Amino acid sequence: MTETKFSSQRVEVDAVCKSFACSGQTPGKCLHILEKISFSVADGEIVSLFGPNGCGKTTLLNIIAGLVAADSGEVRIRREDGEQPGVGYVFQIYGDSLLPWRTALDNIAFPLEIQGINAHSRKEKALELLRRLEILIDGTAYPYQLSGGQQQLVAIARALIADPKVLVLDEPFGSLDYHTRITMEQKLQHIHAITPRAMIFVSHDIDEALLLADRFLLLGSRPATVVNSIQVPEPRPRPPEWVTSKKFIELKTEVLKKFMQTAAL
Amino acid sequence: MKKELIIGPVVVVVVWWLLTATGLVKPLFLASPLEVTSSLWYQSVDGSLFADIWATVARLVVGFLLAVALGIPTGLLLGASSRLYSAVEIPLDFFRSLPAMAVFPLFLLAFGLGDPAKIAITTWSGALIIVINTMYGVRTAKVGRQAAAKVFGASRYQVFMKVILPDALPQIVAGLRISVSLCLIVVIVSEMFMGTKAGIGMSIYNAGLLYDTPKMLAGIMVAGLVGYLLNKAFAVAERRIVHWSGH
Repeated sequence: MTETKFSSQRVEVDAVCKSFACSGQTPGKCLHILEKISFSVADGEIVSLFGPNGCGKTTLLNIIAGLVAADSGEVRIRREDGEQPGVGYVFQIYGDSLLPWRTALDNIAFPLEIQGINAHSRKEKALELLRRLEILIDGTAYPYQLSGGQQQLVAIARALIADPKVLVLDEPFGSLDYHTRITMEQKLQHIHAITPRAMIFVSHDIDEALLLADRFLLLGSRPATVVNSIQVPEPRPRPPEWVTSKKFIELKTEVLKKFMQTAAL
Repeated sequence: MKKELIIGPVVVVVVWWLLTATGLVKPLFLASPLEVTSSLWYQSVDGSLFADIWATVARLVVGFLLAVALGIPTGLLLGASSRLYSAVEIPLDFFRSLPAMAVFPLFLLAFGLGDPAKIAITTWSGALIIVINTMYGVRTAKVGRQAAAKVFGASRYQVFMKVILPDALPQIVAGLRISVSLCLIVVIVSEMFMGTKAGIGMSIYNAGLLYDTPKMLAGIMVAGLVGYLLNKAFAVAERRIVHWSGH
């Protein structure tokens, strides 16, 4: 399992536990979400987290991004001199995370604005990023004038503009139609090839999670814990048809078997 | 402009004219369009029409602007702090349910018969609407947008200024539009019952007392026109300022 082509660990999630709605009066009413979750992600590695809906995947990402504090355990993110802090986050519902009163370009530049970078250079940087990632959208359009796929590309560019060493994505393509979804899976691989970094990709779609993963983590539910970890040693880019290959089917069969066992528990 | 838009006004005027020309309604209750037009003409020649409009609009503008100045900051504060909101929730709900006319005598006692009383009651009524809309705007601002800003390192102040405030803006602007309509109502009514030298409300009321139906109807038409234009202006501004509203 330690066999990996990635040299240095970037993110280390160490025995993270989380419960919700615990109150002093009724200790029995605790909603135990995460139980001793541990895994690590190396630079340039994509780790897929797969698990049933409501198993706490979003909570885990929020803990990694620093939005929510863990009850116990910790998340360590390695940071070398001169590197930008923070985690890039692509949220599940782009409509609720993009700022509709700002143009696409101003949305992408938003993290730079927070850092106090002046309007001219942040616009330059946003345009430069779009060019580099080969994202073709009208920067002057407002989010509601863009398609769902385009809006999620804006969200991805926004997450990358400050050059974080870690990118987390929470079911980013969950609300897109099938065709857009396939296109976006390819686009994400392309972006990853241009600018590789540690990526944590949450999905509730086995095909998507396996297609994108270097490593696939299966989470059990209530409380969630890492049930199984599978390497996906397939070179990139992986075309959409790869999901019909013999190798893919074997992997999927293995994962599905484990998933059914977990779900039956 | 759609051509159909003209149909409504034409039908109203024709029906109105038929009702009076056929004698179906007595002239005491409904003056003919011609009589109302000539009353408007006489009032503009002697200058009273514009004095009335000016008096009413001035009270409206001052009262409304004060309501904005008081209402928006208060609403933002109540929206930002749920403890503060809980502390004032019951009195706030009580006062918003209280008809403005019921507190007229109180304002007369406190501010006297002049413009201060009329402006104060206008501000009072208008501000309550603005407070409540602003507060709901802040409280219903999308949490996901705030989370996104936090991930990118925004301070609480930045989250409020760059995310929560613009997110609440459509609701705030809607509140302003409702508020300005209510302010017009309150100004007109206050002019009727508080006594004044000029104002559309006074003109309508006095004409009614004197059975001067043409002048009364002229005043009603002017009041309606002022309200209509205000609403239109706000609707246009709304589409431009909060173009993303509903998305």
